[in-house]
Amino acid sequence: MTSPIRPERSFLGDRARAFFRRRRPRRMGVRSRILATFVIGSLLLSGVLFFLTFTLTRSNLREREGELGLSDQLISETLGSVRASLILATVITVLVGLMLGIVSSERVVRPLAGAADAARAIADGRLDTRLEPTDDPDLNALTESFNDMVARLQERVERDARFASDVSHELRSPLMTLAASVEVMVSRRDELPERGQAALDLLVADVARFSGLVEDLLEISRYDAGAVRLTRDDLRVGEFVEQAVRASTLPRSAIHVDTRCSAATISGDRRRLARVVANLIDNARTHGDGTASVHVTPADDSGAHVWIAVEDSGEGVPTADAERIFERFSRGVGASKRGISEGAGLGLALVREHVRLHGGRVWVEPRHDAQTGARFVVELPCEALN
Amino acid sequence: MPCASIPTLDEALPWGLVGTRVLTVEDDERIRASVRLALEDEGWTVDEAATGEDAVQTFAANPADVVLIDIMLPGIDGFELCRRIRAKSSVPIVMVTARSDTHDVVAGLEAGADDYLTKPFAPKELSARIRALLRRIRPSDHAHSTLSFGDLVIIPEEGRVTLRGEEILVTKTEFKLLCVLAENPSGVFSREQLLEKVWDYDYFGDGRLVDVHVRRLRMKIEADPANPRHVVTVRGLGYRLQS
Repeated sequence: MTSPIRPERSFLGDRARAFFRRRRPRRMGVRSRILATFVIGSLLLSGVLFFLTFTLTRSNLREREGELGLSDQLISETLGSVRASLILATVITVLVGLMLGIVSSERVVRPLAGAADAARAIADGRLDTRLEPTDDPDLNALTESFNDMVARLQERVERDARFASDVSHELRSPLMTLAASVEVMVSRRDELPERGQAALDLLVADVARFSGLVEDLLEISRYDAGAVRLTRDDLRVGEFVEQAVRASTLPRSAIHVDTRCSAATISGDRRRLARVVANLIDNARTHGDGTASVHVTPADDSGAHVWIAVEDSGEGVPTADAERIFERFSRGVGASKRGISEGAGLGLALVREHVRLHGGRVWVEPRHDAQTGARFVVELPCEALN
Repeated sequence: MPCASIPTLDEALPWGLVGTRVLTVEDDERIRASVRLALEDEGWTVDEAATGEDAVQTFAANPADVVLIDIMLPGIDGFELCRRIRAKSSVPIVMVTARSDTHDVVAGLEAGADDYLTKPFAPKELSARIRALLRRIRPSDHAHSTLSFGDLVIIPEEGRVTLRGEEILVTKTEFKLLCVLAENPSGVFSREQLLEKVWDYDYFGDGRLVDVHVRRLRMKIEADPANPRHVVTVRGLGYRLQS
């Protein structure tokens, strides 16, 4: 690893630097500085030329005034035309200087703009962005070190993303053995003494929880790697929500489908969207009084979006936490109080990723009726809402 | 997660599931041992193989009723093993994949697998899948002993299919698919219906199972699989079998 670059210490004291900074409130950019250098340089050059040519010509003429019998009028006319042509030459020189300045400042700045674009692209996640190599040896140093930096960054990011995925993959095999062995024990539960049964029940519940967590970790690492591909089908909203609720941990939850939504279809990945509903119901179960109700309504009159809302009767989510609870491994507000750690994890983070990939959004708000509780709303694009 | 409705005992027993022989191909010894314990609890006989080469030999010596293949195997991989077994037998094959949303699933099905499971799965899921694959379709709903669709003839009682008089080798699942489609000639079956009737899947079954099986079937019974005449796609609705 290279050490961070230390800013060079100025020979001026801090106070003096502050003074100069005050005197020069607007700092000039590279482009303007190059331009100014060219203009001032050409001005100085032509000024010196002007001065020398003009004074030399004048003194020459004055010296040989008598010898050649030149009249005063002729001399002043000659000097006048010399001055005019010198002024013209000065103007041309400065203009040429200005043009050269523009051209060369552009040439200097262009690679910098390229580097800025590349850096922006990298920040947006396009880690395979690289700068074009140039044949300019001065710029090549920048290009090479930039590309080298990005390559290392990419390697690092990919390694981190792979790590979560590798860990979960490695955990699958022992989990497989655990799940199968636990099942064999469950079928012989009656042969176990009471304390053994209690221990087995704990084991069964936590093997299931462990599997769920590994599944979630794998899924979220797929999102990190940009490797999630949706298997889309046209899903009838009402039927889909009913099936998803039935497959969740609270299969008997009340479902209210607005009649205007009965014919609507969502183009979605049915298993991933079912996970969205299942996770929201799990969340309602652990943070409320163990019940949930699901409401399907049109988002607005335009009929382009549908809302699938899961309501609980818990304490609700404070506005300050409304964003935070969708982050990974962030525990909901009520959970720590009751000592429930179940579900603290990736559930809501996955909800957000799944919904986002479907072109929708998810948020939490207070319930619309007078009761306390949270209302999680999933907004999804849909078709044929009437 | 694919969920399956478990067939009742009545459905399972006539097919003689008690004596079922399952071949498990898996390189992890502990997984093999635990899956064996769980499957033996179902009253089934379990053969084990650690590599594809082993599996080919074991299967040749003792043909199993169902084969369970992990795709990640040392030596010849699960896909190749699947193709080799498929070349000789119509035995139902369940693939075990690492992920459900990759190319693995489609590749496995195209290599000849009948169904798949994603690791880690509960043995209950596995036994439900095995029961579904072994469950025979009852063709008795209609009295015909043969069903003719032009040059395609299905003989449900004997589990045979002929095309222009020549016998076509289809897998058990492909045959079931044909029988279900033949149940209602010219009727359209949605993927959901086929998943339920052929594989015993509920609403959350994987539609790719149907699509790949239809593709495999077309390769066998269509003169031009790209322009099928028998198994026709009805856009937005599903599939239909016609003459």
